[in-house]
Amino acid sequence: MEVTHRTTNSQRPASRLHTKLQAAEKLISPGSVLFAHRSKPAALGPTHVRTVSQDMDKRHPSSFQQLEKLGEGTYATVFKGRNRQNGELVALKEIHLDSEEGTPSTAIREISLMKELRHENIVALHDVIHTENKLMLVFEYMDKDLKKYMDARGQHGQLDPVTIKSFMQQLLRGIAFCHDNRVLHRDLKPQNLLINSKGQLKLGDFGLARAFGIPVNTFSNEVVTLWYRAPDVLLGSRTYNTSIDIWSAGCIMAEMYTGRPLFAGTTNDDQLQKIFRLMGTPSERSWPGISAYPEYKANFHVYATQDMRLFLPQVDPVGLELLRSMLQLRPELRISATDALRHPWFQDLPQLQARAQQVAQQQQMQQQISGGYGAPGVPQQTGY
Amino acid sequence: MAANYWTSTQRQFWHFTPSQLVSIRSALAAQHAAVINQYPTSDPRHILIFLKDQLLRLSRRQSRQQCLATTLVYIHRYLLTHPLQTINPYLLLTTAFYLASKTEESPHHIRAVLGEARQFWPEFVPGDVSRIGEMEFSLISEMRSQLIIWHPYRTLIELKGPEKEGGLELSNDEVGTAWSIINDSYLTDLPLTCAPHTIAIMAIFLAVAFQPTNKVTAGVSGLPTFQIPSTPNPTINNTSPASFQGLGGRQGMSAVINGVMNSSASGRPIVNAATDSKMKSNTKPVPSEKMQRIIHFLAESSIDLEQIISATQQIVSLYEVWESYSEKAVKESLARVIRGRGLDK
Repeated sequence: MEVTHRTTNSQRPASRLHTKLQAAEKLISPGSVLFAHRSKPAALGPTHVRTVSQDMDKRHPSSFQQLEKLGEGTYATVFKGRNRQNGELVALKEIHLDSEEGTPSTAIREISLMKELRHENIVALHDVIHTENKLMLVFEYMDKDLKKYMDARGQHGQLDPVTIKSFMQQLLRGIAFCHDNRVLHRDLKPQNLLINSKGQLKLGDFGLARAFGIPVNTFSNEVVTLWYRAPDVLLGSRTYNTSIDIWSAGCIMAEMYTGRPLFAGTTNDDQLQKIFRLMGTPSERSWPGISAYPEYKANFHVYATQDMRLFLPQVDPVGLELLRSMLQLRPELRISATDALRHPWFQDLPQLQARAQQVAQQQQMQQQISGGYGAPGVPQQTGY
Repeated sequence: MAANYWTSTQRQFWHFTPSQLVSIRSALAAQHAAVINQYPTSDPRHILIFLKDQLLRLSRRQSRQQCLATTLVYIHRYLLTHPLQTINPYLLLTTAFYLASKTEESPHHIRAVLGEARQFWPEFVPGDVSRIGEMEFSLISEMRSQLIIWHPYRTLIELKGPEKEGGLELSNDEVGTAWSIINDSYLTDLPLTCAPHTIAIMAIFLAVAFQPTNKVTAGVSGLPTFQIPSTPNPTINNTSPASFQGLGGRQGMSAVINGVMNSSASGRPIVNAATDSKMKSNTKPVPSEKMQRIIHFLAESSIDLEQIISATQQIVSLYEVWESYSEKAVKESLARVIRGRGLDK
């Protein structure tokens, strides 16, 4: 919350009009940067409650032609679909309802958050269709997820630097929007980042997302796929915040360069060890308070911090600087999404993109090949 | 809670002017005229007081405060499309609570919720869990999956701090009283007509006006010293049902508020006091320092004072109506509808 508050202030210089109340409004809506240049939505007519729900009843699953199965989401099956009226492709996420169990809370969470979040880097929820025994979420169609994109487009999974920079900018924009709106994604990984044919990247699968407006210390620590999980979460923190999404973004950035997950641990301890081996084992001196974490062990193997240039030779020096600020072990030292977007690394992106467009199919960066894309045991998932 | 209030679905689709509410409700009443005439029910606020009390029983086992508030907003919204005479209020209450527990991330198991509900209202709640599943379905549909609710509590928390941080330096008692007033606001139409920060500011204003130390110079108010029992240790995560208690239902509550309203701010109506404060009006007696700070805050801010006043009036009239509340009468009127129309089947 502090992060977003600071952001808002820095974008709107204090003026005399800046009264306490405006401050108050910002507090309840830190994302009100939007409000500054967007007029308040007009109240709807008195009868809208009824009309809209009637509209909803009219919509029917048969308005969509179900095509091939795209995969399994965290709690549902996802199909490709076509809108029979306009031919538009969509992704249909089907959740089977069991009236004995009620609607799954992950579905409730995802639907309700997606109804509030509208951003070009967040996959859009077009519709929710309720039928007798299923709930169908209609999302905009995206061609593939980042993992499949890397497998298909990259050289052994590696992407070219311009694409990486563009994807990182879009990823951070999506994250910044979530964080400005008090939402943590909590499960960022290549499978949950969706890419369309226009090269747009959008965050998907908000099944584990949560609103963090309320200070809660009872977050479950069983979130975020192990490989992208922040060290504070691995250490058992239940008071984590927006910084957990930034750690995941850092891991994803490195992976786009190398084609391999940066820290591919098999268990909680193994994951920590893999992180420490590169980033150095933290101590009470480098991270005051670390010994209070539930999973902290005094006998962690002590590794020295490795030079990032050695294990990520593909990344340019400015990019490494950004990566370092995202992969800080201590959550409070990790950069915010908004600050990351202001990093000099992104400055030359427009020129790079223009040049890349001129040289239509530029040769991709060749780097030493280092093993296949190791992802054994990961079930096929979709990012919706 | 999530997203920006101004662009939220709450603001876009579930915010009404009082006159919009009137026309929605009269259209609904016209549509269901026969059954409404056949089964007249109590004042809607009495119904809500009753439902709130039942909710406190149902949720006695650790439910976060905010979950109860969200439940009541869901009920308000559902009643915009379904007259009380067409639903089973116990089933609605149970289901709204079950759904809110999921959106507020403290989920309860469907069987556990049903079990509790059956224990309290065995004669009205059907024993089949699928009825809750169906009702949940209907709630989600009616609300068009717009389930995230913004509450005033956060504004109160943000505004209680020290002045240098933009706060109003509220004492614990004042925060507790304001908290209770916010709890009471869920029994009125305010969650449908007011932005959450407006409700919070109204509650703060009333709470500060209430506190004896902040009263206008002695002798002016002539009010009996009235100890307001405020919410103990209010936090959003407080799981004690006591933290969802309001001020209403106490003897003489509305008289006290009316007294405070007329005597606070130097005996002038709030609006004048706020505008006058800009002109450094010299009128005596002088309101306490804290009251002055609030008045300045109201004057400086772009907040709609008329709205604050009308919100205050809704709270005052809630407390008036509360004095004629009878749990037995509401319970019986609901039972007549449920039995008469077979809504418990």
